[in-house]
Formats: sequence, C-alpha cells, structure tokens
Amino acid sequence: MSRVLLIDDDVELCELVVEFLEGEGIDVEVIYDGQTGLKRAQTGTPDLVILDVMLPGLTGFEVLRRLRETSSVPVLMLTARGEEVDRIVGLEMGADDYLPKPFNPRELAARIRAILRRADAGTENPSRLIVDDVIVDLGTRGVTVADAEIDLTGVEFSLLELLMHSAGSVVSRDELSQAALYRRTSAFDRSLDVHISNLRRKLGPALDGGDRIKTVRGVGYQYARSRRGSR
Amino acid sequence: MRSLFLRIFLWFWLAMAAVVVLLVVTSPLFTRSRPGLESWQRDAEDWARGRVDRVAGHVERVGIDELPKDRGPGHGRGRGGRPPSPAKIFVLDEEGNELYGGEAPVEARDLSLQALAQGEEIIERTGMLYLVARPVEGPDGRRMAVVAAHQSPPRLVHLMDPKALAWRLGVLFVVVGGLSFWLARTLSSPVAPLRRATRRLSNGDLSARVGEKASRRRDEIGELARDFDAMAERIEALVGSQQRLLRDVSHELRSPLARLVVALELARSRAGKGATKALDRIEREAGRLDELVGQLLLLERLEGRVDEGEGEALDLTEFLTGGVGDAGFEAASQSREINFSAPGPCRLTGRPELLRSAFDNVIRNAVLHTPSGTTVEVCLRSIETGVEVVIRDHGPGVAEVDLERIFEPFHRVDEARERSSGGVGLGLAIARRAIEAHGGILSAGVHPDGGLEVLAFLPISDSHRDDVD
Repeated sequence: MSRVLLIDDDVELCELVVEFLEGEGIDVEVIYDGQTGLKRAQTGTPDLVILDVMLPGLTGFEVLRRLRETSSVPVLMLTARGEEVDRIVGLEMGADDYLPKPFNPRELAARIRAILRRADAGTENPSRLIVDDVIVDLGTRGVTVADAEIDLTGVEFSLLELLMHSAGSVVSRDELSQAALYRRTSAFDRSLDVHISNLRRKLGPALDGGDRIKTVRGVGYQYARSRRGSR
Repeated sequence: MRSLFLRIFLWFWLAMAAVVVLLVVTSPLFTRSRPGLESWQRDAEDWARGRVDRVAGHVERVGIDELPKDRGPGHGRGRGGRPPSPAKIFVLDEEGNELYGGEAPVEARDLSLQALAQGEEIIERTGMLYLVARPVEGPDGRRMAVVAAHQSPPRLVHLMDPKALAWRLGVLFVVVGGLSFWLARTLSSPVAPLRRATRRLSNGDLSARVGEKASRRRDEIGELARDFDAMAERIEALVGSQQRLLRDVSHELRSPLARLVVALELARSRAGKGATKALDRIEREAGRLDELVGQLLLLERLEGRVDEGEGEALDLTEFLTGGVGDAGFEAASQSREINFSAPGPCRLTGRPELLRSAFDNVIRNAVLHTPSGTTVEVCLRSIETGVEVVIRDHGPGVAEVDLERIFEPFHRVDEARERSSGGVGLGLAIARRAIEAHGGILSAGVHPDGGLEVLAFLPISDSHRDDVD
C-alpha cells in the first residue's frame, strides 16, 4: 500500500499527477470513486489521503465525514469550485488543508512531502510536552487531556505542539501557518482559524473554565497557562 | 399612501348611506307624511276635544252614572265620530280611580291628576299616546277628570317621528358600515400578502409564494395570486438551474486547466532549456484563463444576487492597510507608490472576500494607469451616513462620457495597456457589484488636477456608527 491515496474521478488528471509525483519519488495509489476510495482509506493505512470534492456517488464531503469517524489520517482536499464556503466546510469537517484546482503540482508535491515527513518524525524524537493537564507525546503523537485521550488531526497536532512549546507567549499567525500548513498565511485565509477552532473544541475548557487558546488580535494565538498550578 | 381598504370602505359606506338618505328624503311617503303627521294631530285634537266636550258636559249636568256604555273605538265620524286612530275616553276621580272607560293607561291617570291639580285642561303628546285631560265638577260637587287617549299613531307616521327616525338611521349606518367593512376587507386583504411575496422575491428569496388563502379565491385576485406563484416557481427553477450551471461550468472549465497545468510541469521536467520561455508563456496564459473563469463566475454570482453570504464585523482601515500593503509591493516593482490615509479605525459589517475583490481591482487599476514615479492616493473618510474611500491616480483620467461605462463588463478604455497587464475589463464591473452588494455605491470622476478619482461609499449601520472616528 502506497503512502498516498488519491481519490479523484478525473482519470486523465490522475494519470498526469501520478506521473509527476512518481518523478518526484512519491508513490500514489488512485481510486476513481468515493465509495471505493473510502473503503480503501479505512482498510489500507495510507499516510495521506488526497480527496476531490466533486465525486460521483458519495461526495468528497461525505467520504471525509465517514472517514473521520474512524481515522485521523491527514486529508488534503482538492476543490474545483473554489467557493469559499466549500473550503471552510471541508476544514470544519476535519480536512487538514485544501488545494483549489488548477493547482501547481510542485506545490502539491511539497505539501505531500511535508506531511509525510511529519508522520515519520514521530518515531524519531520521543519526548513529551506538558502544560497543566495536557500531555503531548511527540513520539506516539498522542494527546491526553486530564488523562483522557483525544484524537487530533496532523495539523491540529502541529498547532498544539507549537503553541504549547511557547505556552504563555504569543505565536504569530505566520509561524503557525508555516508549521502546520506549510505556507504563509494570507489576510483572508480562514484555514488557520478553522483549525484552531476545531482544536479548541477538542481540547475543551481550561482548568479555570476559560479558553485554553487565546486569540491575540492582529498577531496570532497563545496557549494560556492556568492561573493556578505551575509557572 | 391611501390605503385601498380605506378607500373601498369609505366609498361604499358613504354611498350606501347617501342612497338611503336620498331615498328617504325624496320618497313621496315622507313628503306626504309630514303633513300627514300634522293633519293626524289636528284630527286627533278635534276628535278628542269634541268627545271630551260631550262627556264633560254630560258629567257636569247629570253625573257619572248615566254615561253611555263605552262602545270602544268610536262610532260615527268627525266630531264625536270615528277617531283617526284607536282611542278611548276615561273618567277618573281625584284619587285616580277609574269611574268610566275601564282600565286607563298610566299616562292618562297621571295627566288626569295633573289636570285636577292645575284646574284646567291639559293636552299631552307622548310618543305613543295623544291625551286630552279636562277637570270637571259633577252636579254633586265631585271633582273628576275626563281623559281622551289616542293610542299609537299609524305606523308610518310613527316612523317619521324624528327621535325614532334618528335611532333607526343610526342602526342602519352601523349595519351598512359593517357590511362595507367586510366588503373592503375581502377585496383588499389579498393585496398585502401579494405585495409581501413580490417584495421577498425581488429581494432574492426565490421561495416566496403568495400563500394558500389568496390562491384559493376564485376571482381575479385569486387568479393573480396563482399566476404569481406560477411565475415565482418558474423563476426559482430557472435560477436554480442557472446556479447549477454555474457550478458545473466552473468545474468543467477548471478541469482541463488543472490537467494542462500538471502536464506543463511534466513538460518542464522533460524539456530542454530552449523550451523554458514558451512553457512560461503557456503557464501565464493558463493563469489568465483561470483568473478569467474566476472573475466571470464572481460577476455572475453578484449580478444575480445568488450568493447572499453573511457579513462579519471588520475594521475597514485595517483591511485597506493590508490591501494597500500587498498592492504596494507590486506597484513598487514598477516604480509606483500607493499611499493610504485614514482618520482611525472604521468598523462595519461586510464580506471580506467581496471587499477585497472590489478594492484590489480599483487599486490595481489605479496603479496601472498612474505614470511611473507617481503615487496613487487612497484615503478613507467618514461621513454622516457611512464611510467614503477615494482612490486617486495621476493618469490620463477618463472622458466624461465614459465615466459610467468603465464599470461595464469588458469595457476597456485603453486596449493596449490593459491587455498587456493581463486585465480583461471585468475588474471595475466586479468592484461595483461587490460594493453594491454592501448597499454602497461606486462611482468615478475626474480630479480637477488630473487623474481619475474612484469613490466608494459604504453605509454604516447605526450600531457601528459610534465606532467611526
């Protein structure tokens, strides 16, 4: 099973993309419809799923939703419609990133590499980040909040890692975006905010009832340490 | 705006009332009966007097005992004859006891006592009775009163009595008022829902329908309501299919573009140095196609008000600072500058992606036309009803006749220059519609010192007004 699974019904495009990616040393498996693609994603264990929004039968969003029920594999969505709402919906449903068509295949390759690298990095650097009741295990890439394990996507994990690393200080939007999405943020790019919002939701409220992640207008985000406890 | 309901109501009511009053006033019965009333009264008086004379005379001479048995409503005519309406004669004593004539009506008794007390004849006309009471003294000195009582006058005459008439007309007015209210209601009630549905439809709610009640009517208004619903149905279907078409077109146009771009990169990795320039060119053109598709779709959406998204609170000053900053980089590479000034933060509700399109397009347009070495000035100022953003360049400006035309799709003032920069002439059209989607206005004028001045006005709701410095 290749590390990357591409689910897109545009046969010709897939052919070209696979040819390009293989030239870059990336192995890709292609499925042309949603239903089969979903099954393959669930049974095989790809390190990355590239998912097109417009699919026959099961739509891209449906596939994403069902996939997220059982797996937190990184998902990159391809959207041909380019409508703002599609991007936000996809991110809210748990996609890690989106790429509007037509896209530059070099950029696609760069992102794929970054995501795969992140998946590999896990095993090489065992250490833990602890702030208050949150424990981030960089080795297993597992996160527990008050001893309860929570499920985070790759992007969410990277964001939390970066924020907790600088707990108590602000991390700029640019820095967060570079680390988690491998690109600079632009003024109207909501992706980062959606991911932070998803992360907040999964972490839940802080020990003192407030927000764990504070928004610092015009600058970025900050992981807040609890008033009580260690400093 | 005079209400339709009010007009129908008042008209009908007054018309009915006028007709009734006219009928009554001109009716021969009425005109005749007036004298009829008077002549009746005269007859009644004559008869009563006559009778009372006779009875009183008899009683004074002979006493009560030998009065002829009362044979009920008169015998004979005129004086002492038949009374004009049922009448009776009574004789009562000082205590009000009936001595002759049977049971007397209360009014007769009262009047007899009154006459005895006053010692003279009294005539009284009440609504229902006409009475004459005369005190007499019998041969034995006994004091008595003779009373002639006419019962209710003929029906019609009674009707003409002003009090009764007024009361009846009053009731009639109210009843007619009620009827005309109901009529006006029935006629004008479907108009309001029809208007509401029309307004909702024209504002973009394609699911607006007139509703059951109005459509069920079997008159012209019901037909109108049904026709409206049919029309709305058709429009909704048309626009719906147009929306689907838009989405499909976007997908269809972008799919070959996507393939093209990937194939291009493959070609690059295979091709030799000589092909670089041509491949770059291909890439640029593909980019233009993509841009054009995007712009066309945006324009289409804005035209049809098809995507009514939600606005969010944003600071226009911050927003424009960013936009000007980005455009500034590009401008600098062409030795042009952009300058932005604003009095302070400016909060309003808007859709960032639309505003970005709008201001991006206008600013880039200005940068394109301003000569090398000059500065494009962007300034924000708050006015009473909202905020104005003025973008001024130092270029050749635009002829008066073209000031409106530049906002039309695909219009280009200077073909050569704009084509070389990659524009297709949609920028300002999109900008205008994006601003209008916020309830604002985009217009252009020529600055007295030369150059084009584009003015964007955005209204600010009251809740934000306090935030504008």
